[in-house]
Amino acid sequence: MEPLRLHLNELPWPPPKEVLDAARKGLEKLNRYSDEKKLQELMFKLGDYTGIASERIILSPGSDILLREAVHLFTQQRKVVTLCPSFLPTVTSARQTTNQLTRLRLSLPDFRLNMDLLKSELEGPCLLILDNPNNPTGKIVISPDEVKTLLEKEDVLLIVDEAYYEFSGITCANLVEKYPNLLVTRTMDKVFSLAGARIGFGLAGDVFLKKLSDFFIYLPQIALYACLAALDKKELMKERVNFIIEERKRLVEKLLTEGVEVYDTSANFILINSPIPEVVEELKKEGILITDLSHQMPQGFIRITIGKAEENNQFFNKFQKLRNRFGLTKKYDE
Amino acid sequence: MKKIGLVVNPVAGMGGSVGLKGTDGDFYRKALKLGAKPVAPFRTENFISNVKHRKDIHFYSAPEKMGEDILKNTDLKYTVIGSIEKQTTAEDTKKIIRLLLKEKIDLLVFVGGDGTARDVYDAEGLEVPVIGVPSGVKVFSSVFALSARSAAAMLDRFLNGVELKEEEVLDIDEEAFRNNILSARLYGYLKVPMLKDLLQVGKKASSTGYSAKENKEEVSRYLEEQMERDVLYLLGPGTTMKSLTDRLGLDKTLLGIDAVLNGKLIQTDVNEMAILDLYQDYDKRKIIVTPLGGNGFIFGRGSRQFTPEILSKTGKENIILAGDRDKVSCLDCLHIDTGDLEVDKSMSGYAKVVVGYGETVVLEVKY
Repeated sequence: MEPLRLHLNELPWPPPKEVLDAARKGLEKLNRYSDEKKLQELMFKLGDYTGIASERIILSPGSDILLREAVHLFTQQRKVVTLCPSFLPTVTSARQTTNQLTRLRLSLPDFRLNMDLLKSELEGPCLLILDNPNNPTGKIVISPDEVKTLLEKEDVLLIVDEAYYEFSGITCANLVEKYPNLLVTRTMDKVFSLAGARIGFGLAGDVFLKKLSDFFIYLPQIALYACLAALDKKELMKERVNFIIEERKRLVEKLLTEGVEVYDTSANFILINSPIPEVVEELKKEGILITDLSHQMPQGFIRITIGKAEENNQFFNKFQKLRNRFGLTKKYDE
Repeated sequence: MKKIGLVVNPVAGMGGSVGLKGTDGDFYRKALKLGAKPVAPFRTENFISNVKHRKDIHFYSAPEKMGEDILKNTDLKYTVIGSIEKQTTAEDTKKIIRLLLKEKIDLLVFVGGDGTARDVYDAEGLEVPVIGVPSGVKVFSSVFALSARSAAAMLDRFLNGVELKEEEVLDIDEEAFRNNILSARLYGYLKVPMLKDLLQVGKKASSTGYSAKENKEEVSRYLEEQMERDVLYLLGPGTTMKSLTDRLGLDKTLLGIDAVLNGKLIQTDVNEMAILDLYQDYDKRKIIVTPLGGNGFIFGRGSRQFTPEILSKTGKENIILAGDRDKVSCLDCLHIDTGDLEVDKSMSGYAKVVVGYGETVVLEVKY
């Protein structure tokens, strides 16, 4: 039996029929590089979806690839400031290219970013990378107004990774028109059920736009056709997002009632701090995949993607069974 | 009315400032000879002075220096249980705890280190919940509160009703520890209040894999480049510091503190007195230490030779923190618990820990 995938923050449903049909059309063109007109069409559609001029859109085979490219292009002679924890591939990229990397710890209980501390780190030429909501804490770490104050600082370039924007509803995308030093990255992977298609995009201020548009990007045909069709199904996407948000709240509530240390987020996952030893392995044995965060958070933290209602229930029941086995529901008898 | 047991190991922690890495057995007399001063009474006083005066508690205390001496100067209600030898040993701790159990105490507060925690486990196992007030040289078990103040807050919250959990008591091989080997095995479990914000996390051993080794080399290469001429460097214990001295071609005391000047080892395994002597000769000085894995303590656990006086004389700006990336990335914050609140306060705020070549993680230092 296939394991239950609650570890990669994917959406649990496959794309709708129209998107799958479009992907098949792309399949028939596999002997050709993607058509320039189709790529233009995707940029227009994304412009329409984001409310940003299509000329500012940078396409990429995955937003992580775009982030990596931006980091490689803009870290020369710059200090890189980012968060801990954060989306690890970006941090790894930065480590490869800069000799000055500072990570600011987001601490318990609320994983708040200390803005004064952040500003004090932005001295001299800097590249600041913030994932908002942060992955894996799922917290909104900065407001659009706060982003503005950072963009006003001298010689600061800012990348805001908004991979989970549709769940949080908070964005600073409209600032790219005014601020040349801002890049916002997004993805089609999550809310459009297209993780397997791997399409990301950037909304770029002038400084980023100039360098990132130096290369012409061909996207995979299947992914390109699927994305174009998916952008015609925005209502379905919104329904799915709302369902996941409601399910997230329901699961958090249930876990809280059981006395679990659980953290709600602004994304399609939740965090749990569990004292169960090897909890990730234990759940894997039960056919449930979740993410171990012990390499960048205190021991015991795990991330669970929100799935369909029955999948979330399945996780809850298996997790409770484990908690019972470890005597975690026992109360002190006065 | 809740019955609270109190047992203090009066010699716990004395070996720390004189660099003895423990006060078990004959090392107590050696510590005295080296001029060590008692630590546990101050820790107990600090704990007791922060206990909220509630009508619903009554202490059942060990006699004299094992608890009574501190309680008699307060207006807390208490009863003294049993008798102790003039020169107290682990047997006194165990004997008193057994008597306290007969009194049907609801909670036991003990003051000491890992050795004392083992004695508590031997005497009571999981019978009653405990609160450990940290006072030993080695306080690596996860049954201890973050500080004496945290222990008092823990008592208050326990009285209001909290869940309990079992935490680890570690058995550190003291002989091996003195010979630069940190060897720990699980000794047993004690039941403690489930208050994660007040309880210290047990020590996590350093990673030893290939990439961890590479990472340490990266950190030490960076530190070496940052080292200035004519500045006295005191290098704390641990494998990250060992990697630095290996790079410098020096032979480091793995679990002690060594003094380095202009790339040369000028003294090894220094204690508080030796450091103070060195400070008379060198006015430019820096301390490099590694936060403890798992709980993030920078001072107040492990390297007790860095006493509050030494830290005051050094200054926060001359403390360099460095550790391996994986270990530091898992810490939520750093902790300090030297026993001197003013010094702890002055060292608190935010601090950078070097975790790679030019790479730092900024964490809050809590006291």
